[in-house]
Amino acid sequence: MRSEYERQIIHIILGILFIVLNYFIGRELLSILLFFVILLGLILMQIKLYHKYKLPYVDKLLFKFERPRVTPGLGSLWYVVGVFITGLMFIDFAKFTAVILILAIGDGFATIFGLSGRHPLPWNKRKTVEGTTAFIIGGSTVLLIYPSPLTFFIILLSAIGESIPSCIDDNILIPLIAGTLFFIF
Amino acid sequence: MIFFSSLYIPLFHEFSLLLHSTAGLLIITSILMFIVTIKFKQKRTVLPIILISLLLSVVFAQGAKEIYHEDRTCLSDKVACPTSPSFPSSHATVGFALLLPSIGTPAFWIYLLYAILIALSRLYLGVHSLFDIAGSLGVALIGYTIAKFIVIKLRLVAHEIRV
Repeated sequence: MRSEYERQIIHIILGILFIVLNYFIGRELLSILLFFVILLGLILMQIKLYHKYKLPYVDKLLFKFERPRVTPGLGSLWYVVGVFITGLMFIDFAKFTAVILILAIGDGFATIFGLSGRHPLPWNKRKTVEGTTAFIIGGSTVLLIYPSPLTFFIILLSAIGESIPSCIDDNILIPLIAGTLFFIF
Repeated sequence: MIFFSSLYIPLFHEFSLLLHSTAGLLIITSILMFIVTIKFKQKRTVLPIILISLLLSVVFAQGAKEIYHEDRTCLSDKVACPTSPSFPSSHATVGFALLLPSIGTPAFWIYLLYAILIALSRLYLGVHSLFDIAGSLGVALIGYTIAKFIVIKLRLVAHEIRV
């Protein structure tokens, strides 16, 4: 459980770091950097999944921060993919920041507070009302950038999307939902 | 990238020109997919998701070209500069769309090599930038995500998709 809290703190910090990185190096350089990171991640994943080799430092990192009983490194990879796709989608830095804040803080809060929640959602017993509410509250930091009812509606839809059971990882689902909505509106 | 597009590498030059044409890309990709599918017996395991991923990725790539409409800056005269928008690269999208569903299978390395060769060929011909190639991976990732969702919901494959 403590590891889950640590994981979410890192999830939030990383999101903020990506925003800062985008600010300093720009969309194109960030996208190219993440492109190589993702390619490397895919290669490492192949080595672990198919060849089942042990990778000294990587295995230690994954053991410390990844959830048990999941494909190792997958959550982290999807997180980078989520940021990568968001960076590609938005030329506008403010919209990029908005989506990443929803992903980092919204999703991070949802897990942190949802773990100790006691009221499961009707449509997904694995998630809680407390967690979804925390997502909305955490994601509402975006209102500092775009203070409007539409922004709140986007945060709400992202929270609902995150709560629905799906084979798509949250780290890519949330940017897809929030990113598409910010793109359209 | 300017340096790379100013080079002349004989065999790679011919390969790049072959891949540059839509027909060439289609034929080589089809042959590669056929060989890999038969060799690794992937007809019922990976092929359905590869086909859907490929289709969706190419459609999304064309859509993205129309939305972003980034003007192309060709860095060499090895080929006539295409008039279509440059971001993302449709050719590189094909390569990455084949690569992603093959993770965890022996075909991964073959498709990785193919994806890298396609990407390098576009840079070599000077018709795309590295950012365009990065965009192709992004589009392919979205295409693969949705393809995976469809395949799982419609139960088109019996095995678990781990990535």
